[in-house]
Amino acid sequence: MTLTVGDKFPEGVKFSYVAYTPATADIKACGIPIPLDFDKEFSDKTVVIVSIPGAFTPTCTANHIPPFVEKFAALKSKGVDAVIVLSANDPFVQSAFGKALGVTDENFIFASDPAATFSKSAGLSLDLPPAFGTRTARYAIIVSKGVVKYVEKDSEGVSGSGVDAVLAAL
Amino acid sequence: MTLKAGDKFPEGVKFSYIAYRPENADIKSCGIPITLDFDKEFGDKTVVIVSIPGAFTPTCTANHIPPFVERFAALKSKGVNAVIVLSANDPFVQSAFGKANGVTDESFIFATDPAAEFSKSVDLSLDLPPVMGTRTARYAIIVSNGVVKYVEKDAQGVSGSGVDAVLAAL
Repeated sequence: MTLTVGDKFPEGVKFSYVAYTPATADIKACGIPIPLDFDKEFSDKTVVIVSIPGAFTPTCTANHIPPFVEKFAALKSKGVDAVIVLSANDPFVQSAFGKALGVTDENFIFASDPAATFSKSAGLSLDLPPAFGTRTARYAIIVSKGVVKYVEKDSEGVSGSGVDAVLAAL
Repeated sequence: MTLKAGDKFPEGVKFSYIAYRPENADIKSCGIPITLDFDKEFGDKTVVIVSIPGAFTPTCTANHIPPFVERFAALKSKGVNAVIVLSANDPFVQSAFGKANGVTDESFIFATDPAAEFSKSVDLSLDLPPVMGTRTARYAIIVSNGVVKYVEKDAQGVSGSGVDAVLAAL
């Protein structure tokens, strides 16, 4: 069932991520993945989830995520507590992607939606050929205190899932 | 069926990769994946395939692949025409991993075994649910003129699949 504005955000959603630490700052150093329990961490907060089909892919890298990094302060000034960049890539790859984009803020999280499970359940996944498998679609969600305030999916390019549209919706 | 020394290398094996090009040298710029047709490219050559469960993961990044990069000249002096670093990560991730490891040589290739298909078919895959899925195991293969000369899989750490063991076998 596709997630829509006004829905309660599903309970029990768990992502996987490697937390940034200065000790493992180099892109070739690896941390250890831990669960990101959405309910526990964010049920009383405002979070922007930005989903990309793949780390290090065209569009995502060039056009979609860097503007969120650049406008993080603006997002925070509008009440956002955290940004989660989501993909079906594993947490090690997501961690390397965050480092490649120069992100060190603990509230700007690069996480995995393992096997695109959450995204599939919300009608927001994408089936790509065998080298890629099932991926999270390109979308953005604003969740505030457990309620979905904004959901936009882009099938081509970046518009509703981009930072300008998200800022306008906050 | 497990691959062993003396076997003919299977026909029809195709990997996916992004060829390194200087204009895409930055880790944040993306190329386009193409097919690496093993028979066509390497049917009459000597190739070392080094497989890792994941790009940007512990061991692989710290201990397994960098020594192959450092000793590439030694491998070539012993008759190796190309090294293929293989994983089930998609070609964009593999390309970024190659850049992170500072590799720009067109004969040192970072490629994808889509859905770990080839590795599975020769009993060299690894199931790591739920976050990592089916991966290629940690192994090294030497193929010369279509015949398998060396196959070693490591269940833990790096020994038979490491560059020293491969150099000794050449």
